[in-house]
Amino acid sequence: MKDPEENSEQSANAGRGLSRRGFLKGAGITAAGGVLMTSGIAGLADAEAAAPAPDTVGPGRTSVTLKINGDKKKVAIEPRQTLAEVLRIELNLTGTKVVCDRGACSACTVWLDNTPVNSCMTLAIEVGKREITTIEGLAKNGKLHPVQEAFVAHDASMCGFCTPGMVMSCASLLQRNPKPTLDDVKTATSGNLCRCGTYPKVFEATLAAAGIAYSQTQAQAAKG
Amino acid sequence: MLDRREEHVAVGNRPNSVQNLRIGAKKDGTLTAMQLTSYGTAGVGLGAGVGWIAETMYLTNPNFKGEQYDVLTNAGPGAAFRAPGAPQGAFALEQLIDELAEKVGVDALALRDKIDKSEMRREQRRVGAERFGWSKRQAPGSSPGVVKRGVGAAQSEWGRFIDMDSSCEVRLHQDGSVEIMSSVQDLGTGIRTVLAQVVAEELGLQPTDVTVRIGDTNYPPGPGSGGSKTTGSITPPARTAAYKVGQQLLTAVAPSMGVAASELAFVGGKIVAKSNAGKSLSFREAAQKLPTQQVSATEKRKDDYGGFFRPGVSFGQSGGIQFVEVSVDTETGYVKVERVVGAHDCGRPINPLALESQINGGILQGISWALYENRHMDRNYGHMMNANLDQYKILGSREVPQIDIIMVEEYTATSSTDALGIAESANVATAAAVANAVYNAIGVRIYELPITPERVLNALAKPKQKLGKV
Amino acid sequence: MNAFQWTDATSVKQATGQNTTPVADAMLVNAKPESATIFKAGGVDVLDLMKEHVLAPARIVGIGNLPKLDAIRNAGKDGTHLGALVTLAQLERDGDLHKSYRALTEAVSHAATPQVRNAATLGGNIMQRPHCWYFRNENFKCLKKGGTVCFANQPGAENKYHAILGNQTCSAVHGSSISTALVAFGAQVELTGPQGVRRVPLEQFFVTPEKDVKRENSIQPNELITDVLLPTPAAGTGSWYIKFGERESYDWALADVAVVLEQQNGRCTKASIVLGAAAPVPLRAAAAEAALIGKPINEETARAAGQAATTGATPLEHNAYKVPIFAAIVKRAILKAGEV
Repeated sequence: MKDPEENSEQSANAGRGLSRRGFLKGAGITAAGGVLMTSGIAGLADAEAAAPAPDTVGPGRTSVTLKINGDKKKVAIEPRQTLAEVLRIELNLTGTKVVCDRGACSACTVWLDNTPVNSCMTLAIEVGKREITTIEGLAKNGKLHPVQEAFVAHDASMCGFCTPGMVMSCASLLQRNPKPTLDDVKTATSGNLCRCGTYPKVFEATLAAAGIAYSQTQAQAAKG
Repeated sequence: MLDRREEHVAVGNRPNSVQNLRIGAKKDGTLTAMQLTSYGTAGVGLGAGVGWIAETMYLTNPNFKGEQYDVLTNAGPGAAFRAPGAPQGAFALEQLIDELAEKVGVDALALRDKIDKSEMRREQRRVGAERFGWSKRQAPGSSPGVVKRGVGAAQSEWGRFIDMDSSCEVRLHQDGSVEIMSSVQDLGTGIRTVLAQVVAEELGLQPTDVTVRIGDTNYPPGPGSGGSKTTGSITPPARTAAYKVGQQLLTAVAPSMGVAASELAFVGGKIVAKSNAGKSLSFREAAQKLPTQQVSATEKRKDDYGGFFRPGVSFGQSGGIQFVEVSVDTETGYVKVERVVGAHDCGRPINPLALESQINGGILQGISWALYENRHMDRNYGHMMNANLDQYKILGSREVPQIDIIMVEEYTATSSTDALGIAESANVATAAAVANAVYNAIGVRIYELPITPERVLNALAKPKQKLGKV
Repeated sequence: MNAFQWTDATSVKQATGQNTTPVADAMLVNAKPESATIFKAGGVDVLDLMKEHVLAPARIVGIGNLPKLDAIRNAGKDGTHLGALVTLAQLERDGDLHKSYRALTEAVSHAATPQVRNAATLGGNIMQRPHCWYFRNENFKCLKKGGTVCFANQPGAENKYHAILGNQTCSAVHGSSISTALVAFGAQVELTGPQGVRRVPLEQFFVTPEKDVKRENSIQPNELITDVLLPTPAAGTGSWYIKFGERESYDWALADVAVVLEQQNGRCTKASIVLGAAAPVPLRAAAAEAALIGKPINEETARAAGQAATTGATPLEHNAYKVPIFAAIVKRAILKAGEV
């Protein structure tokens, strides 16, 4: 069996006619900073050999196909457009909200392959084949997701700007962990900022959707 | 749409201020004088005062002198932020009242029982203290260990504002559908639901039977969302309009039911003869008997029964008291609010769930302001350095304490719904209560907001201050 | 955000042949942004800089899909390889890391937000630029951007979050709290360029402002991080990490510390104590480490080490409060690490 690490050095240096000494000199790096060696990544060389050629697009629009809420949508985008912008502006899926536009408030949370991410800090061009789920994709056959229903029943929304992101965070939590604790819900929403102060009701609603009875007053009574 | 930086820089901030507050009192705690001087800045705008809470909360005070100054600076404008001025005013006043209580040797709530004439707050103090366990509190700074616990309370007061330019139309269609239309808007306070409830109750329907159309200036003028005045302004005309539409319907069906309109009532989705419950007509069937495709009534806010306390201000004040328990890490200066009990009033509560949310919001914004929020202006260049949500810090999920809310209902018979708003009154006391609790925990008062680790550590490092000076 | 071209790299070899510039060079005020090409993986920090208009590359080479770089691999006594594209969420959830490198998983689970941890990569986290608000504000052409002034060090500046050590030239603290833990474990970073692969102790990869204020590390043009190697801890090693922020929800560290201790016969034989948010680089607290060697781990020795941790601190106008905070969290982290 060939040693993949051996191969990787060969492939990295193949055809460049550079000695190690030459590289060190050329890159302006002294040997004190480190020594040349093979990559520690297993199987890298084989994967490298099979890689297709890179493709450069933009800065103008380029056509991509996005998988959104079970549909395929072909859309022309600029590389600089965030997923949030493409969802809201190009595809009119305005349920996803943009508040800070810096990944600091999580109002723009969507799922990529069922994992919550900030759509404001994801370039649409990077999404590739991953499945996008937005707040519009949570309801099935006209029936709200249990977390959405619980948000309504517990008044877990005030102005509503943080709500789609909160719901996406909490619904994802229940997917991973059907019986979360209060602390789990707090962790899942620790990046979701709510200015109105819906948190106690978000906690109540999410736990209720998981079939766990909890209310902010009960918690107090239990403690007292 | 403005981005976050533009919102911070150009739209507005809660104004800051420096206050000097002096209290004169007798040895038994009776107030003899109060003097307030404040200097605040709302940047290029006005409105940096600290409210009138020092002037009005303790009405036994015979001698009051207040001066509030706006200092104009070349910075972003101030904005009306939930109870403009009042949280700032309460932060100083309610700490000073606590200091007075300590100085004259009485319990902080007992002193308020003596100097606060509000019967409502007396009751709120009683029920709140009981729920919170106020009697278990310890002397300031006596909590053992590195992480010290402390409790504190503070009161709030807010005017019962009314906007007379508040109107709505209620329409009933022959198909039985009911609409209410007003250009009032729902910022998340729940007025949409509340209007459906008021109309539905009057017509014996469920709130889901009522279509609420708001937020469009084509509809009859509604109140703006400010001053916690929406509920108190728009629910009375909604009820009156629904009543008038109902009367038209009863008049239309009375002949066929063989009962006088005055002998009919709306009950559970039906029109029922008061004297004979068996004689009834479903609401939908009744609507079909309307002589025209629709009937409607447009009503506006009328004077409170008996007039007004001040123009645009209903009788009395709404208020409350909040009790806070904190932990303070004396090695790192970290303050955490562990638990809050709030006792509040807003006349007749219409939607208890939405009320709870509003009070949660007031408390959480209050904690956020007490502990985290600060605008950092570079003094050399005049730029706001933290115009984003990374560094302009607001409370997040992990900073949410247990919150227990007690609504003390109060019926004054001033309007057809007797209902008032709550949002601002729920925000006034929180920071002051947090500050009083921090003092109880560490035995050192902090007179600056936010109460950051930096300020706590600096305060702990200083020799203890003398009481009685803010 | 400026318009740019996008190249989706499919192999390390292709990526390192794209004529890329370190982000630090692309941000210099005299740089020619129209010609700058940069790498982007998870790219949270890169997008943040671009949205603040302090970075405007002409082309971005996407390296998020490079093969084989997204795995955590235990290589026995050689240690554990962390691929550069491993997300913070992957690190956080890894049971073996949690067992052997507790300080690291503590650091990761306290970094950023759950959403960011799902997207951000280990390599990108190490490479992120400081969060100094003068540096990130387009109105301030500071030393780091090739200007002539450190605005945070001027009298009257807003510097409560800035460095208390090594802050004479520039007082921006290093942005990666995960690096605080990685350095404490003696991690090595593998860098791949067109000419090959080199491996550098992470501690030496970082560059102080005195060496070169315009960058925080010694990455070269066309070079990218491909791997991070964590040495296998010796038996009897315990570790802990504490991040102290103004909030427990998403917040930057005001002060953080990673402690890795080896103990034999009830005495500390080796100590690695690294301070984050204290200096422009993750900083070994040598005096604190020395204070523990040969001693039992207890309240008294931990307290002494905590006091020693900030020896030589030169606080600025608004950040002297960080000194007692470091003393407290170093003490606490030592006691937790010593429990093993």
